[in-house]
Amino acid sequence: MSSDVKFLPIRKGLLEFLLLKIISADKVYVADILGRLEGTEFATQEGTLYPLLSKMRREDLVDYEWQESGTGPPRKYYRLTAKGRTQLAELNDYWREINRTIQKLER
Amino acid sequence: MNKVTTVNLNGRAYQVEELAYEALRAYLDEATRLLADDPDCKEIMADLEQAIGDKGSRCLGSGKNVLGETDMKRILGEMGPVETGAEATGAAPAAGADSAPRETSGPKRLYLVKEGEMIAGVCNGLAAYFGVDPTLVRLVFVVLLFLSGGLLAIAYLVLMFVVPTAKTAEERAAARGLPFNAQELVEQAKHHYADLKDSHQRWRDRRRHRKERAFWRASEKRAREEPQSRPFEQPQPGYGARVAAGIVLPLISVISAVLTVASIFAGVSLLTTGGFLGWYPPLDVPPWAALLAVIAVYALLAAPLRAVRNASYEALGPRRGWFVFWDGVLWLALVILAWWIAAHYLPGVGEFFRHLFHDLR
Repeated sequence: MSSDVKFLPIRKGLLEFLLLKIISADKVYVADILGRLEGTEFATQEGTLYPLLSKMRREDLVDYEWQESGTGPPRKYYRLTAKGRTQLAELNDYWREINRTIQKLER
Repeated sequence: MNKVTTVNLNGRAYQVEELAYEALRAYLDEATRLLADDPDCKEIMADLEQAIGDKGSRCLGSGKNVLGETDMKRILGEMGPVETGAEATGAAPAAGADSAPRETSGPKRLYLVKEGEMIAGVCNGLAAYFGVDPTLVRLVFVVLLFLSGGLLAIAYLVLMFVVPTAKTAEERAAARGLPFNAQELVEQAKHHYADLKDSHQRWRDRRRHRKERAFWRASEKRAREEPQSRPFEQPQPGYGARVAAGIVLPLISVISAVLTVASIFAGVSLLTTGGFLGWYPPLDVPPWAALLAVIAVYALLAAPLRAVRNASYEALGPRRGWFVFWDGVLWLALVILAWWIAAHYLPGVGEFFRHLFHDLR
């Protein structure tokens, strides 16, 4: 795992993409997201996640609903909106495109 | 025992210790400041509070219903710094990094302070910590050193090894401004040990390096200039300045040791006989005032000596470590020697300490 400062902007740029991916799979709450990213190079923390999710909600990419949890207070479960799905599809395509370019240049 | 405060985190009450409360307050204030421009500031703050509360609940359980400072620091470390959605939507450093929240209030910590130190800066650091004159701490230290029969020297060595050196401006500020906990002590000891191994390695490398260099110098005269051999070192001061510093430093040490011992004599003599060297303070001056006067005179005389000493250290350049160390040892040795002579040949002094020992027992 590289913590090189040079790679920081890349990780930053890709975090939103990964959130879309994680949220697209299932209804999730923040602790799920953190758990999925933990141990990867995209490991992140509440302090970063909540502001970002709030921004994505304002951009109408994600939405949330309150759900009672068995043990504690109700939790916010996030899911993708229609716009969020479109954006994820576009990002997936774009990502594939980038990878193709990189591989082509390696030859 | 610590005072406990109740806080409301997004509608639920938690009991936290005072220091934990301060850390939490600092974190939330900083978050509010950073999120001031965010249209969803309120909601995010509620989410953050909720998350902190959830983590807190997991710490608590049967037999524990108060969150301590360590708990809170860990929780806030897990939360990570708040990053605004606008520009920095960053991935945090890998999980488990020591990303405790920035401490805005600057807790007070014990550090070795290397500005104007005698040996390792322990007394200097203690003085900074308690906000008193280093000279006073040294005097007390020397007195206690004798009363403890030298045991305090071990304490000094331990502190020297265990307490970190204030290197940055922030640390120097912290040296003046929470005591450090046991875990940190252990960490520091490990760290210093690693440093010691490291510097030993460097020393060996340097020796090898020097031998190689001597060889090349012999074979190639131009090597004397060595323009690019040490690109990262600070510029060395002039040779003359270094020689002067080498002569001045031991002299200063002798003078300051004599001054220290003379002051202690004066103090002891004032307390035991009511005067010293045939001079007696006016009758209406209480002994403690005379003692304070002696300390004041000592501080007054020691200040210029300290200034010259520091200037000499400066002149020695970056490789002054050993010099400073031996200079400190010389000073301590002179003080001990003078003390021994005094205790054995001046009846008043010996008596005074026997009394003191007796009283302490």
